[in-house]
Amino acid sequence: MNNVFSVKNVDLFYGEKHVLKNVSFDIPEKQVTAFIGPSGCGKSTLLRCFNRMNDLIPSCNIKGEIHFHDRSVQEINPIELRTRVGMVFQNPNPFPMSIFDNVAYGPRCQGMKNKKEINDLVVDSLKKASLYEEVKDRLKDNALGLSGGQQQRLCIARCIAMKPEVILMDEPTSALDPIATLKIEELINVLKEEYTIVIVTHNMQQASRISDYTAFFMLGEVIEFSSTISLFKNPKNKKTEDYITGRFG
Amino acid sequence: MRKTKDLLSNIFTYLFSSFGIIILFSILIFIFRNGLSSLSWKLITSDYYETTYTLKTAGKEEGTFTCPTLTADEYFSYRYGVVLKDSTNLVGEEVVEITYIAEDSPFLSLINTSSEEIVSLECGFNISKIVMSNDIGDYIYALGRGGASNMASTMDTSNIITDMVASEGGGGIRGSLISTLYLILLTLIISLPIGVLAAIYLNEYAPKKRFIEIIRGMIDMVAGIPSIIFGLVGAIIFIPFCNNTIGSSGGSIASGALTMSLILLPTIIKTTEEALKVIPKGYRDASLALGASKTQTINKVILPNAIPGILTAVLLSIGRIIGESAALIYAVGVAIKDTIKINEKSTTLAVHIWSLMSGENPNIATSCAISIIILLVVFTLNVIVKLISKKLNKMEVK
Ligand SMILES: Nc1ncnc2c1ncn2[C@@H]1O[C@H](COP(=O)(O)OP(=O)(O)O)[C@@H](O)[C@H]1O
Ligand SMILES: [Mg+2]
Repeated sequence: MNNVFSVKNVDLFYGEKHVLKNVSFDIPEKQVTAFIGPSGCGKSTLLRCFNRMNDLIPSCNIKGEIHFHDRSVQEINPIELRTRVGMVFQNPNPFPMSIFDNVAYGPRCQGMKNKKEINDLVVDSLKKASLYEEVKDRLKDNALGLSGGQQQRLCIARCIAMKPEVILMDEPTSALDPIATLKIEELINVLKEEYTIVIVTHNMQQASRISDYTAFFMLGEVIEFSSTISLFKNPKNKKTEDYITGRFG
Repeated sequence: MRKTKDLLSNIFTYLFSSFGIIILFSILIFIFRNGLSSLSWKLITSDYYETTYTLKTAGKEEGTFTCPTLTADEYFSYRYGVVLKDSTNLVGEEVVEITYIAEDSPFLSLINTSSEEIVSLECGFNISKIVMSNDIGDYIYALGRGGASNMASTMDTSNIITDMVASEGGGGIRGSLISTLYLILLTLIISLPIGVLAAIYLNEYAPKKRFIEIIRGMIDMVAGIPSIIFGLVGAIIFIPFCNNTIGSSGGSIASGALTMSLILLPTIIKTTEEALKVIPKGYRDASLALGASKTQTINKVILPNAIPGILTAVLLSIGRIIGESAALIYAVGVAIKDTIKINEKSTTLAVHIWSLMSGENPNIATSCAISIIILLVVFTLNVIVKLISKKLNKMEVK
């Protein structure tokens, strides 16, 4: 199996603070990889390394190697990297513009002008994010009028419109109700046919429901990384076992 | 013990606040009582300088007209068939006003002494001087400030008008209003792009360093400098600059706009920066994560969301320009004008008041009328700003 990202001996500091400690593992292609672990252990931080969003934090300092396919992410232009590695945030953050313009935002920024092309892409992306049926009559309405769950699927559609290879999701359902959460989980199950998905969650049930691989983080270290089934069935590390059986965190 | 203390402090609070409110209302009442009667569409649309005619009658007038019903302060001239009344013109001088002209009165067919054209006077004309001759050929005269009664009776002893100065209109603020609008427009054209760009730089690009903090502090300090000092800067730098570049001499609207821009830049920068700061971080992150460049993020997401804030800055600026006087006395000038040019001296509304009050006949009525206009505009602008910031706050909560 191919790996999309390979993380080798990564240490990350925010100023003096040592947030990731000697992290190494690979993210397999077209699989769902989940990051679990107590909050503050560096899951989001590692996720943001994959599309270089940490570049925006001046105090952030990364050591070690993160490869996207065969190139180091540091050598890839961040704009190019971010068009290939999309991101969905914890809080749904559609722009205060129409639903259509939200989805068309990324492609337009890349210089897409043809109206028909954009239109097809928007419809296609909304369909893939299983939002189209709900919004097809009001594409011109402001996206802020949608419900939380719809907004998050819109953010996924916006991401898909970039035709990325990887979608990073940072606790995408933590701000949503159970029904909206379920819809997103179903969506992830469909999307993994086409995309590599890395999802941060601190809901272990969610990780076991939707992911193929799981990385367990604690205090900046990756304690265990393996297929989700084996991690949850027979964890090799005592700490992992404690965490997933609820004796910790 | 504590109760009496509380009571005392309460009493003082109420006393002082009611004192403040009473003063505020007295000022408003004073202005409205003095100005409301002068405030009219005519005041706003007419020129400051009246149109004056020098006129004479075509020949001897021998007839007698029948007197219409008069009110207490009106006087009838039997010889010329006009009713006269004491009045003050819009500039505040005492004049005699024509309030009625009989059907075949010679006043309907006077001759312009310079162009020899026939002029027909109307009610509302003011007479400031009238020279006539009588049966035996002596010249007699009456002045506007001598009163309507005297003028009417003197006129009835004559039979030819040889030289009459009559005028209409005047005292209006059209010119100063236009000059104010030009000043607002020009100032915004200069200061808005600079201010908004500076705010964008400070908020989006500038490194979070000491140096930038010092600049911020300086911007705050500039906002507190009394405007007369900016007026001085304008006089020393901008007036010569405009003299050399656009051929003004002394002050001009252009040098006023440069001066006002200097005054307003801190406000514009700060207001815009506030607006940029409240834009949710999620928008920036989302845009950058979608592969947008920083410039695209600013143009497509940040700026559109900062528009309410920028609008607030514009409205605050307009209010400030309308209310400013000290800085503009040098920069724009104090000479009231009817024809407004950007590279010439004129007055803004606020300085118009200054000019009206500093002459020989301080014109309180018109000054108060202009004050009402200024107050209403500034008040409306402030209400709109409040509404916008209320809406902004709501957005922030979201
Ligand atoms: N911008 C930042 N500056 C400094 N420290 C940060 C920043 N972002 C996160 N951290 C710290 O890094 C650690 C890991 O954070 P994060 O990756 O968000 O954890 P998680 O997503 O696992 O909850 C936390 O201790 C957090 O306080
Ligand atoms: Mg997190």
